[in-house]
Amino acid sequence: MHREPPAGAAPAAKEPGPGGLPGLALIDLHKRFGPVAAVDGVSLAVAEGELVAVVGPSGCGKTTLLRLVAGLEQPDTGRVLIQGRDVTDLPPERRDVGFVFQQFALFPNMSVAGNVEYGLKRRGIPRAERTRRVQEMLAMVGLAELAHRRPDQLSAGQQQRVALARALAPRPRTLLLDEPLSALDAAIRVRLREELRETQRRLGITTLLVTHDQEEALAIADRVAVMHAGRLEQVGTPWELYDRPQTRFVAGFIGRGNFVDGRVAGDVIDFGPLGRVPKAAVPGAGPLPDGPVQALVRPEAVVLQWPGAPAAGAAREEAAAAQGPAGSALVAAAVIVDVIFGGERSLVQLAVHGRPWIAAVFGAAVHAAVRHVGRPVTLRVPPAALRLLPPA
Amino acid sequence: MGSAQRRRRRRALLLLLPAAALLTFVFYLPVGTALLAGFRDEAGYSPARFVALLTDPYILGLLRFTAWQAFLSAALSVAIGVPLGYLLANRSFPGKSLAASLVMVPFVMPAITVALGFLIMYGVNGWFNEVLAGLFGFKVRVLHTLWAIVLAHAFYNGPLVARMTQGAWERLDPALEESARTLGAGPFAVFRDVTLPAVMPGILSGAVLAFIYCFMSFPIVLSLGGARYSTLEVEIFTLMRVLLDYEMAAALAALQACVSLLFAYIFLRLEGRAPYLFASARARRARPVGGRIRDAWLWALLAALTVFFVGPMASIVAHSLTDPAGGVTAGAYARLMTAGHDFHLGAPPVRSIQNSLRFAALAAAIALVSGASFVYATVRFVGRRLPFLETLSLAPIAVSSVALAYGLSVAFRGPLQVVPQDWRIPLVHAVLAFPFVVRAFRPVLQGVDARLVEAARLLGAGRWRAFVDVELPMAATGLLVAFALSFGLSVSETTATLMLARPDQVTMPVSVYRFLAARDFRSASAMAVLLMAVTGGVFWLAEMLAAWLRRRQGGTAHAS
Repeated sequence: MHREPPAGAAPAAKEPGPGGLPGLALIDLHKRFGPVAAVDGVSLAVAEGELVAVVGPSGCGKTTLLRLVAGLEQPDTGRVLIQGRDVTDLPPERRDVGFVFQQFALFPNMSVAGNVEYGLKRRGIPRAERTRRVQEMLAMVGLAELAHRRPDQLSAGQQQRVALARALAPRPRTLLLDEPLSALDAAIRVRLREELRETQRRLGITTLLVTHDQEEALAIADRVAVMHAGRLEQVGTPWELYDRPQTRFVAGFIGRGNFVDGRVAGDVIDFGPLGRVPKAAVPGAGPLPDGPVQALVRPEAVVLQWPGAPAAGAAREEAAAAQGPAGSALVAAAVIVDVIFGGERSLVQLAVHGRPWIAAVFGAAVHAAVRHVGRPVTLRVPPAALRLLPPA
Repeated sequence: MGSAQRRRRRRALLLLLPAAALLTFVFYLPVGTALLAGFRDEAGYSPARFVALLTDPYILGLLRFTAWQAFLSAALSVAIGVPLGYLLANRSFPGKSLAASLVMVPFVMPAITVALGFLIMYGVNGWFNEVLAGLFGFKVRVLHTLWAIVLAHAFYNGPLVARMTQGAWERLDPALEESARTLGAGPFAVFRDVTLPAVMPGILSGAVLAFIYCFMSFPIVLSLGGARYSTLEVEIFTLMRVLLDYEMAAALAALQACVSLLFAYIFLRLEGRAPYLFASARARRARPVGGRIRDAWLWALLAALTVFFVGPMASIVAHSLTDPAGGVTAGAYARLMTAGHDFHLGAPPVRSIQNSLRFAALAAAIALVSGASFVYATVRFVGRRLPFLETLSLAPIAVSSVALAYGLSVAFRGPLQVVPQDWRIPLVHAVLAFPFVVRAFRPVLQGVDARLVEAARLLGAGRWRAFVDVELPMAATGLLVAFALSFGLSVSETTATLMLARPDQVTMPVSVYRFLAARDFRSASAMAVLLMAVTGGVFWLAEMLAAWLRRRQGGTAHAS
């Protein structure tokens, strides 16, 4: 479990996708702008037809990474391979990539059809074929009747569809999307992201998407790469990133959670006032040497017990857990501060030993939690739900 | 609701008042009266003389030559201005910030100074020909040819085209060019399909403006073209000052105004078009002109531009410092500082420097107040473009300066007698600078989001307070540029000053002119150097102040 953060990305580059050669391979890319290392040793393999989302806070270098793939920036060192062919030294127009820009960058001096046709024209495709392909693409994104409009007469959502149609029209081998949905309203964003995913799947095109929105990345990507300060912290399926984050940054950036500090001592891990658990009961703890550790607890792993439930008084139980032999769970007395209603799942804000915690509650428990706002409850975390992180 | 609307309208009218007063009394009435003389005969008013002009082969020949030299000059201005605009918008090179802040200096240099620089540099024994002879063994005759006129016009208007090209290029969103690249377009196709359509309106409006200026040009043609070449403006001057045929001169000036106003209208139409569609989401990153072979032509271009623009100015500086007996001397400057009143020169040189600075400060202030309030009223209270009103505000650059000066000299003896002597020349200069203030300030104010004003008012600021706290700081850099431009235009204005100034109101360019008439080339050069120092210094100061303001605001002015 405990790997060095940058190495977390490297093995992925060596695993080709199911189709043999990866559709896109980045090998140890470096790019500096003056004193800033925007991209600092990134390796990544995207399987043929796979959609990988690069997600990270603004300024982490993810857009630069995308521009390196497109050839809009030249790497200081490192290679870019598309279907096994080294394109590092090729200019953008010869890389055969489709690129969708954040603000869409539609040519204002051309009609919608003219925009979609542009890439076909530059590739010397005959007129009849071009016309056919433009109609096909516009029909695909549902804008056939707007072919003669000018881009500034379209809504943002329509502009986004035109940008996608334009990028896909020349049938590129790779699709690159730079925050393709960030210029849209929340409601249309969710719909377009599903459309985007469906189109990508149908065409089976290798796709690299860059976004700052982790929810968007988790929702549509086959795999997600978390980028931080120019490096890939972890690459994996959405579930892997959520369930087994390998760094503190990934754990905090993907999903929500509670962090507890502990210490490995022999065959137990001591979490202070929350109690001690057997080392063997915590996944991945086996090889850890003695010393400090940090664990992540996802909100849905927190079990709440209301007072009056079968268990004994929380304070007594907690005292027993902290002093006695390693127990079966972390236990703490908590006070419910507030409940954030969220439909099928609500979040309970707790105060545990003066620190904020969150827990997820479902169904009827939501009602119980609301009734207990401001009152003490008992909180339990089974050791199997603890996710150990390398010390910060 | 009704009272709020009335208040809005009252404010708008109040703001339009200074501009309306300035243009009506110091421009439209005097010029209109002067031009009307062209339509007057014994029986009253008739277009007969005007029509006769259009069938006169001599006048048609003049018109043809005037348009032809203006066309050639505009073409050369584009050939020089577009590469310069490209460099300023896209590349970084040593001395760029200096070049960027001083690029408009040639544009406000008095024609007489430019002519002087060209005489010294391109004369048969000028250093340009000496270098040519040394390198290649031949000389070229530049002076007293059409090419001298065209080159000098390009010296003036190249920077203008460069500025407008630079503006359009800086607005172009780099993502548009990049998306064309990813769609398979090579660098040439990107230029043809994206870059050119985006910068073309900027280049064209620069070219049209250059055409207007060259069409009206007068001292350059007179001093560099020699006796063989005459334009409409030279003919108007000759008719008015030598032949004293005011009616003919007025009819010709009316004809000229029709042509140039037509082009001014074309200019405004062009300006209102496309470039905002290409507006940028992110700033362009200037690439350095590097040491690679591919950049060699850029270095060559930079060198050629430097020789072309700095050459004539440096020639004047060098000439002002040469000792007729050989060696270097500051004697000419010493004479300027000590010379007293003189029959040829009028007021002493020191006095002419004082006059220039005083007039320019006053003129720039008047132009700024009337121009800025005009822009403010049209942008904030009207909110849409008014082509007619804008053409009217642009008219001072489209009307013969000889006719303007004549009309004013009549008016100042008649209905405008009440205007104090010391205000007359600044008022005239303010009229001439007015269109530039409008052009410089409008885009800046349009860039300040009107919602910021609304936000300030919702937070409790009155309309005036909101202006002072929000708009003024954000638009201050635009006002500075407008002030520098007006100041420079006033310092360099020659024609009207020459015709209107009393002996004690001599200004620096008039003084250069008088020194030249007295064949004192060194004193003329020294005075011209001081003049360039004043205009260059004002531009440089404005740029420094603007940079300081931008730093102080921490870049917030660019956030909207």
